[in-house]
Amino acid sequence: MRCEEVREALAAARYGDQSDVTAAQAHVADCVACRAWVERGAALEAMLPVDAAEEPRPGFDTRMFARLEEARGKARGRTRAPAWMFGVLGTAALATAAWLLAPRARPPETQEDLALAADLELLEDLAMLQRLDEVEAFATLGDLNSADLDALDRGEDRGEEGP
Amino acid sequence: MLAFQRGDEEAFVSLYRAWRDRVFNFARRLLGDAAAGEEAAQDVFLKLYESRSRYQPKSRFSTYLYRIATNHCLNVRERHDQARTERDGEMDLRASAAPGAEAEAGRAQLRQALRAALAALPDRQGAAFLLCHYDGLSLREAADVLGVSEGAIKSLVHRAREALGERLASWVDPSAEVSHAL
Repeated sequence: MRCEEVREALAAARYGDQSDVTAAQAHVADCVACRAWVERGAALEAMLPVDAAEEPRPGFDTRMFARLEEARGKARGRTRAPAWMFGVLGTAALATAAWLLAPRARPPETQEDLALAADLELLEDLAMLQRLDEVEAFATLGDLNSADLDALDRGEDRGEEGP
Repeated sequence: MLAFQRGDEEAFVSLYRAWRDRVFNFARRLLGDAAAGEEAAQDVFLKLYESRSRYQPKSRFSTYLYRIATNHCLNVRERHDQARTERDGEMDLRASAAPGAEAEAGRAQLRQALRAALAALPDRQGAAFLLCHYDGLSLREAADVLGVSEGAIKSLVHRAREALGERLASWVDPSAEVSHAL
């Protein structure tokens, strides 16, 4: 092995790779230059712990969580619709789910149904449709179970106001 | 990380507490400055937070986190003047040479010289050396972080140690006139 290869192998052995260490040590035994290199390496090794690990300054955590909260706020702001739209979207989405999932015969065209259809058009037209997965109402929609949908269905049967 | 990906915000807080100091010290050493290290560490955790939807458990989480940290810090190094780090080092040396505290001053000077030497290493050499020596990653793990072969990481670590030895020659050479209390 050449001196440079030996030194690289010994450096690798320091970090767990023992593959060439036997041959490297045999070389060092016969090489004055490499023995001197090993001694310098040991001296370097002894001083490296001087740069001990530290903690960040006080207030680091506070600043970190403030930045995280700001990032979360920006993320919500990009997807949050105006309040009135949110209300329409939320109730329309819930009502739509109930209407789509509840088993029923084709309903007669009532004023209520026409209003619902209008809201469906609104849903299709809104740019928010592309980001419904980020809107809380849509997440709520995903959380609805059959009991919730049944409750919505009973509400409509009692003639309650649609969206 | 998977729990956080599923929406458990407390899981992210746990990750943060477990890795905060390691990420900070890695950034501090690579950038050669504690304040820069703090800012970079916060940037890293912010990136980790925002990468939730993209995370895929293809490798160890430590590899993923150190990859974010390494890439970010190397980008910061490209944008900053290395001379600023050396100027800060000189200021620290003056501050630490307090009368009546020679031994501690000597140790402080050595610490500053070492930190300057680490920060002065070429980008990939510095990252490779820090990952293996101070952060305890295996050569294979460090190679994964840097996206290089194991042969390449061995070469990087070896060259980093050589460069450190040259830069700290007056401290390392047993025959040097200056004695250093370690």
